[in-house]
Amino acid sequence: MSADAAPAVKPKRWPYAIALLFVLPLAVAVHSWEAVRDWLHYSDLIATHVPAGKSLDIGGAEWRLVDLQKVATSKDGAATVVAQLEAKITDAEKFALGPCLTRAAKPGGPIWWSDSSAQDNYVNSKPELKDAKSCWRAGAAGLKAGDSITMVEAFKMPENVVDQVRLEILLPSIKPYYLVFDR
Amino acid sequence: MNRLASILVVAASILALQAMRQTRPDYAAITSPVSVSGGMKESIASRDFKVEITGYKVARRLKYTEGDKTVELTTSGVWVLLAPKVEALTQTLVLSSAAWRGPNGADYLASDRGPGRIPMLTSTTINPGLPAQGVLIFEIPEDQLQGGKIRLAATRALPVDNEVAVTMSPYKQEDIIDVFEFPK
Repeated sequence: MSADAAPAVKPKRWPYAIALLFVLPLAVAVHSWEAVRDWLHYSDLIATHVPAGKSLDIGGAEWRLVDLQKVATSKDGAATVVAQLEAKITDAEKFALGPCLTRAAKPGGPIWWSDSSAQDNYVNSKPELKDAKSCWRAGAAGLKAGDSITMVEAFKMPENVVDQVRLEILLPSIKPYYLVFDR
Repeated sequence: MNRLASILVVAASILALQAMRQTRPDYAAITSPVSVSGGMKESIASRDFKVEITGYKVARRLKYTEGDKTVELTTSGVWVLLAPKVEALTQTLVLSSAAWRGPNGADYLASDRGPGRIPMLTSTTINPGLPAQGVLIFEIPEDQLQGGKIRLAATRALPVDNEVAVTMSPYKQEDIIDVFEFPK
């Protein structure tokens, strides 16, 4: 070995370690993007509030809650609560993109899904509501832009929560948002 | 020395990977419902619902009337009948999945053979705050009676959902009824 040979240069490794800090999260993000997008597309995550007495144009219609009230109480303390809604169609194609689901929910508490047999019983007992449909069936009613439709939903819940629940509507066309009608 | 250490690290990694492969649960185990267990006369709560079973009956034949017709159901095993009390905790649901798990590990699904007028639990809508009760009927081999468990869930189709498993108390052989007749 000659005395004037150049000393061996130690390769620098830290730039690669720093690059990994950026590349790894980026690789995870790219890999999981489709799963996150699907999750957002199928989830009801963000509440869009409709102030009491107001309407909101969303999901192909202008939605308005006409009434939400208890109509009967059975001997076992189960209250039947009926919600009456109106929708004026603004985009028929978007409106028909069902199924529309409705639920009554206590803020931070349980969820009561609509009860189709209670809805049928109520609608059949009210001649003035003979053309009313459930939100689920409204999408298939063949409505055009400018048409209006009355919808009726019924729920069974304990009497002591009737005043605390709010009507919520889940529409496929607006996910991850959903509608909450304030009282 | 360095080379020896490297070989040891690689060997240890291979062993660790092999151990992970061997102990990896299969897909059915990973996605099976999260089960909460208990015994009879206990109120057992899972995330979404609560169940209490206070007793059950075992019969060799079932009998009921529908209109003018008398129906008698026979079996080569036995019929197990019970009426659990249930309550939804988070949302309206139907406990559409009910099974009797025998000591041999087999699941016997709830039968829908029974009088139409009797509310079956597997088709009863349960709303939060409104406790409900519904009938369950199982047709099982007689040797699967002792040491059985009732498994209840909203659905088996949803992976990682929650279920309740109730260990059933022993049933005396002499208490098996010849004919159980449903009230009119």
